[in-house]
Amino acid sequence: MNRTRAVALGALIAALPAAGAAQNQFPTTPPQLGAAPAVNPPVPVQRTLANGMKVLYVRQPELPVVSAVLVIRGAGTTEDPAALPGLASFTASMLDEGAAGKSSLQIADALDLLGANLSTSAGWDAAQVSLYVLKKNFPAALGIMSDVVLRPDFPANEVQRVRDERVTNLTRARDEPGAIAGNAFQALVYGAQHPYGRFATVEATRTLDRDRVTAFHHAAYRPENATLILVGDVDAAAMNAQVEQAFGGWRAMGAAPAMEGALTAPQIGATTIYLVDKPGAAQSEIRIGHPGVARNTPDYFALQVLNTLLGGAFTSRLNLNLRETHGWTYGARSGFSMRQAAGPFTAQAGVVTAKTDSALVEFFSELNRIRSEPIPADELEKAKRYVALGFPQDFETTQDVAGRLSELVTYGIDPNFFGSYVSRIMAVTGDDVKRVANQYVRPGNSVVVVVGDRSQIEAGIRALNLAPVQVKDVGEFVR
Amino acid sequence: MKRLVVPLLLLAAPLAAQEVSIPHTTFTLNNGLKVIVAEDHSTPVAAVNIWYKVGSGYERPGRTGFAHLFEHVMFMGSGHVGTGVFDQLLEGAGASNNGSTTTDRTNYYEILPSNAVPLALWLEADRMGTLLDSLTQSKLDLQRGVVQNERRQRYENQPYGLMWEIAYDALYPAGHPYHWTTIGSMADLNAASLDDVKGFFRNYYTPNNAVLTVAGDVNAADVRRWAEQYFSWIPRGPEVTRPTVNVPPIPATRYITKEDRVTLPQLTMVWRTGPRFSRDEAALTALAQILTGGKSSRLYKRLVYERQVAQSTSAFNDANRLSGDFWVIIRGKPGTQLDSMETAVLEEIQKVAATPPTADELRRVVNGIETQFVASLETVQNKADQLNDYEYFAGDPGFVGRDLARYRALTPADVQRVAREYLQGKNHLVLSFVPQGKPELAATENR
Repeated sequence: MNRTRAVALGALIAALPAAGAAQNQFPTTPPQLGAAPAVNPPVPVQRTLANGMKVLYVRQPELPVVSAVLVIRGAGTTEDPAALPGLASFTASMLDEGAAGKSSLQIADALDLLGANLSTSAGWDAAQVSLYVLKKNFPAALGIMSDVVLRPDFPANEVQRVRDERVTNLTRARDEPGAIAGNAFQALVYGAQHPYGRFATVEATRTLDRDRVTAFHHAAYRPENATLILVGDVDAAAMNAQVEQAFGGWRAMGAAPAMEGALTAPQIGATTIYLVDKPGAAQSEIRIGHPGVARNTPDYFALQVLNTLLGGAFTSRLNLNLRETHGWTYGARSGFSMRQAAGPFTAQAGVVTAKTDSALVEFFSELNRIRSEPIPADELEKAKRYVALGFPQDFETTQDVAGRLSELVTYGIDPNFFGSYVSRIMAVTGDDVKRVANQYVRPGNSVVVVVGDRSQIEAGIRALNLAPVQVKDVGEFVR
Repeated sequence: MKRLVVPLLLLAAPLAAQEVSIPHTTFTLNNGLKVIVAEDHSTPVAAVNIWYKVGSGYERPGRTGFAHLFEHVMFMGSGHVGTGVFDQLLEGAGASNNGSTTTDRTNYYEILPSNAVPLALWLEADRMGTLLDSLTQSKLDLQRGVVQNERRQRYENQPYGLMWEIAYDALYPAGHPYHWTTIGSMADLNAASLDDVKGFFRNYYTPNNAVLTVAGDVNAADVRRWAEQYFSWIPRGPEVTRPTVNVPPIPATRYITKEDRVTLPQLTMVWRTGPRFSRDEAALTALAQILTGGKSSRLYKRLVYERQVAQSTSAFNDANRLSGDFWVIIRGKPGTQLDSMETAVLEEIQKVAATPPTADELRRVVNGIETQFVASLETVQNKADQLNDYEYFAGDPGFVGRDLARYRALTPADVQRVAREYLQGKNHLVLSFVPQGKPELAATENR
């Protein structure tokens, strides 16, 4: 944020009632605030290794730590074969289970001795290997990080062990209403023909083996698709040799395979309510939504403001209605999951069983109201300021910075994105919000999932005549 | 966040200790409100964090859950802040805020761009000074409903969610302040009245029973001026009598079985230890890590990695103001007999009690803890909360350096000694969560 913008924001805050008080006499109105501080989002120094791997350095030397995140685009869950959901995630989780001839336990012990935290995971569009370590131990830990990414051994016994753990986790997912609701929602919104509609199953997980994992790693983990983000007490000039030594041997494989053609989100017909029975449940888990929008949307900033108004903050409409007005839930919220293709828009809450039907009415009331009624100016300003003025908090820790940058890297977004973030949020108008609300929030074409005690809630939901009701078996979504 | 003092010369030496400190200043207002300020200008954000020295351990019989319900009421507005306006003002200034309640204390905090610190201080002062001016039955009733939904969501509708309630009920006798959980019972929440709110506020929500900490991009002189302006008019309250229960030892090893809607059986074993910052707390935390803290930790390696009869293991020493408890939790694979898990836990404790852990085992644990200490200083909110934590439990907000030193000074013999002194052969609780209709999986006394 530049100084001009900071002053402009400060003027907005100063519109609050003025405090008029002598020293030590309690003012009965909130204090005037000075100008919001200028924000200087980090501008990384970029290097590229000979094999095509990019390295981003962000110097934050206040603490003697390094947060490292290696982002490997195209190694995420979207790349799972249709018959093998979970392969990308399983491959990522196997990286540190034996590498460069060292066993799983040897790797773990070496990291523990360095006081280093290493984690591996797969998101929708990229795999990530994250490291957090004191600077004094960074060189040694970086070497281990490169071993697990470049030279994983995927020992057969470890493949079997981790696979069995995953099978066990899948069998216990049916204990958790939230997990059931999540799987049901994505399956019913996207269907099995779309990657976003698939979820890992016991049957598919049992077919994961060393050959599959090795092949996926070979195809998807390549330096041309990789970016190493280093944040903390780092220095490109001093560290690039270490990085070159650790990752320079990662063999280039030529141009990365073209991403699959753009995924087409399914059209949702008229809204349907799907009821999943969870006998004895104390609450009903509600999910409402449909395909939303991709991360590269030109409406990104208007959507941030829209969602803050609707369900992204404590004083958002859904939470004020369902929690602070009615007391039916511990919290209600909404969100757009922005991915390479259009991830879902979801509005959700866990509500007390006896008020499940009433809660659905209120959800739809809010989803319709934000489309039909003008947004009051003060409410719009509050939402914009919440997003814009809270922006510096996203860059407080080294892990925060690495995380925000990894999002840009994953989606190929200009690193200067953060530099104009605040001004672009503040430029969003009420008309913008109304337009994106009508485009991206579609209560008439939604999937509604309710996971709860059917014997207690079905009659009430049917009596609403809100939408057709279908009963689904929990075994369709956790299996 | 970040103002950590690091002697650079020491950094170069691989075996040198990483020094940690949170530079701060303190002052106390005439009404007894203590204020701690930690400047850190590395990011233009700040945290305002206030601790009231009251928690569920101060509740009276028939009112379990009240301290936490009261916490919710604190967000409903005060004398000069209308209903809902507290959150509107803060969000409009780019701030997030929350609160939490434990057995011993309740905290409230705002994380905000640094220009908004006066707003947070004013809002905190208004609710400390004038909460009751705008209190109504409907505000209490509304938050009662919200809290009851919190109980449903976080405890009743979660697998194993009632573990804490069952365990505390068994671990501490009736009348002990830790006999119940902070969420309380539905019946007691229903019984809470407006008079309860008023009495609790007058007794405990006083400047002399609170500590205010501000950390981040602020100047100490400014904070002092704001604190005096906003808080100093609030009258001192009555002196608070703190629970000083002599913690009874667990009278006998006890087995409890709970059938729940769960797929995996889970064994929980709990022993009595000592309070926060008591002599052996660090050694007990290290012992917990040696048992379950990494792939090579004793119980994880044996049950999850090698035999593959368990899905997960965890252990921790949960130390509070009056006492502490050492927890071991083993989640078995489907159909696992929890008797065999119990045997494994007791055997591994026995081994540590018989032979100290290796120097390498302990070093791995201490090095991980050292990284955690540094990481915890990355956010202004963590720093503020730690300063308050040290102030309340250790009597010194500047305790962080000595806190880490406790871990650095540990020897394998210390770990062995606490395994003997607190766990081996000592009475404890054995709590089995088993799938409905499968009581035979539970650990039992007579097997």
